[in-house]
Amino acid sequence: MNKLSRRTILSLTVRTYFIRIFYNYNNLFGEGLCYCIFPFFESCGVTKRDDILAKHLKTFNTNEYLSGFAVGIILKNSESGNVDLEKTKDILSSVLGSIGDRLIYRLIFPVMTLAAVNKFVISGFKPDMCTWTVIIFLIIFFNFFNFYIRYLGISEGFEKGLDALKIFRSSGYKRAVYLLTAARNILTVLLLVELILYLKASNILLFFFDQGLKL
Amino acid sequence: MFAVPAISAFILLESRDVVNGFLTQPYATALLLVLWGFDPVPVLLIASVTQLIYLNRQPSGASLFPEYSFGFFIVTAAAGIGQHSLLSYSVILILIMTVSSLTSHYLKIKRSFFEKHRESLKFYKRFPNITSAVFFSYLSYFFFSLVLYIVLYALLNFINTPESSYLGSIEGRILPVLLCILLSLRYLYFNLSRKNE
Repeated sequence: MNKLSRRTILSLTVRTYFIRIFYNYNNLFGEGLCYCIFPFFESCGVTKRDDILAKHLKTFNTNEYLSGFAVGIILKNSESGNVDLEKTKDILSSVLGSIGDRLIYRLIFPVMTLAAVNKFVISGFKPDMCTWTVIIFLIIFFNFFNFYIRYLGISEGFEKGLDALKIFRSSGYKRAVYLLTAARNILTVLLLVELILYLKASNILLFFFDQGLKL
Repeated sequence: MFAVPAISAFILLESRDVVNGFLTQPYATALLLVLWGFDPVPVLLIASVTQLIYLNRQPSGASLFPEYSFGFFIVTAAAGIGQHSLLSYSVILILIMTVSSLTSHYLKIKRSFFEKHRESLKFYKRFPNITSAVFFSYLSYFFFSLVLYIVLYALLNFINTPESSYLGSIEGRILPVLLCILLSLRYLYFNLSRKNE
């Protein structure tokens, strides 16, 4: 079996949304991984939950957004006879954790946040229709990406194994990182300028100094 | 009385445990509060400062990450609908940071407790089960939010009295706007001085 059925990928993708709820200090994402990969074994006819637990309820770390890659690659490894399962998990734990943190929390999330705060300042902290549109667009866009990266991770991971991670060394990915870094820095500078203009236009400082003089 | 703790518990669940779609970030929940009838200017100002305070923090695994989405919503909702003075802005921002930090400690305790009793709280027939994990997590967050909301509501009402010092009569917007400027400058410096981007 080289490819998973769309139904199995969808089922696995939905389960990755809940991987974090099983996070614990004993085996980190180990329990979450067992929960996520169950539909695959069920579709293969292996429904002995004890076997899955014995094999996968061990310390495992990942980034929740890139957990699709972890699930896909681990399933590929399981299908091809568990060759170096622990070694594969170690690679995934370190690589996905650092890539995910950098991509999501240092780039995508700041760009979203800064875009939203910029819009708040532009509208004078009074939300208009445009503010609502921007926020809703940002949320929909991120959640589309959130679903896509999980779905892609499972299908690519299962098809290519560890080679699926090469996507994070591609020129397209590097270009995206570059653009996001630029957008983040530009949005920060824009925010600074807008805040200073807001401060000037709303006469808050003037009011504050007036109060100080009256004292 | 129960609506704020119920929504706060949902925020904590979404931001920390399930989906993680940035649906409950302060910029989104601030708009929910505006829809609810809160004055937009103070709510959006507080949301902006809260976002900028924690912008360069990354939630990673076992570290105690301040749950600011939850802190922002529960404190702002408890603070009330109207305009705020310099004093109340200061108190609200300090409370958001305190509650966010306190919640991270609560999450640590909750995780340890759930791990100790995982067979009954997270598992069904000795296998991870999403229904019981979500149900018990939400329940624990709800009771935590309820207690916190009652304490915050009482505290903020006690502070928000007409006699509460001279600071209570000064235009409050100056504080969050200046904080936003300082935090943006810090964030810009942080990013430009980082070598491995």
